Amino acid sequence: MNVELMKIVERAVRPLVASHATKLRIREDLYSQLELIYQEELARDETTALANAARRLGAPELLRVELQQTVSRLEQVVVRFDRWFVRRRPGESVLGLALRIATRMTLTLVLWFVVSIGLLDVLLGRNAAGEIGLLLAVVALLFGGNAFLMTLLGHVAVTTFSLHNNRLRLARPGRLAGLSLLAGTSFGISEAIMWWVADGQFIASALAEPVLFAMIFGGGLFALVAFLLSREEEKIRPWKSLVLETG
Amino acid sequence: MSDKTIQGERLRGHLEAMILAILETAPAHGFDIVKKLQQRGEGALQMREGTVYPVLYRMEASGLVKAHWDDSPENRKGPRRKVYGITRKGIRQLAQGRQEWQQFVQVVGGIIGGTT
Repeated sequence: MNVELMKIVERAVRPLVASHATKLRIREDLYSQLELIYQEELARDETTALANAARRLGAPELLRVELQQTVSRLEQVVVRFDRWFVRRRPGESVLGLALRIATRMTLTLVLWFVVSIGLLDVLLGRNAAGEIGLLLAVVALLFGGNAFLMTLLGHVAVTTFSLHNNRLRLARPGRLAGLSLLAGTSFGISEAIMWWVADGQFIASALAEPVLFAMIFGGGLFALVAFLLSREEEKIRPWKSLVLETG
Repeated sequence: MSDKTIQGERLRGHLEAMILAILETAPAHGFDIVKKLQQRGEGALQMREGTVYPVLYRMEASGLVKAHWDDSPENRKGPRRKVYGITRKGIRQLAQGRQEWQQFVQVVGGIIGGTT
């Protein structure tokens, strides 16, 4: 792909508030259009071909406004929430990202539980906070702790895949297996802790099944998410790596 | 002297109908849609070529057109292209658009063109 043509497209697309999939589709469409325009202009005059192609495509600011209007409000809300909650900010360390996600996850759950329990107490006239308050607090902390750990593990897991002949391949299967095992173990331990808080039992034969299920399911889900995120990252990488000059 | 080009808001209001008319004959890539618009407009249509995509996305969301990848190697240089085709809903919309346009031309033409 022609890097200069990619930059012209990226100036219009990068600032869009849209999902990765939508922006990638728009990039591919505009690039395909621009490449054909550029080939026409090259046949006329090589020295002005790039400038004329950019002019024919249209000013990036105007194009961006028109493209933004095609993105649904729901998608824009989801994207903004995603950026606030989980997307890594420019210059943010992985540890900083993990702490931010964990903190927000825990606080969001605590807020949700407080509101839910408050409503239950009002509607049913029960002391729900006394009955399940401790369990919910532990659940919120475990979710936050797992979010912290999964962010760190996930950051390493995406590096276990690499692009080879335009196909995503598992380059480090041992590392991914180890990371998935760690993730699964964390889910299993979380399950055991919740049982202990709820039931007073920490180690019992009845716990083996749910804990084992949490480990296997959690580990498998982790590996799948790592693969999906790697695939998305590889498609976006050529565009994200472009340095757009200002002015 | 009057401006003989059609651009901006005057163009934008009718672009969907014109694109449907282009796609009625055969599916086409965005680049070919713009070329055909310019040819059939005899050079009077002035538009930023990137503009065709926001319009196509809106039309696709409304079910008037459908996109698919053109994987055929003939006459193709470079990466594969996405081709847009008209749907049944688009055909109905185009028929309605033609009726409305003819009515518009009749009514407005009668007023502007008529003498007291």
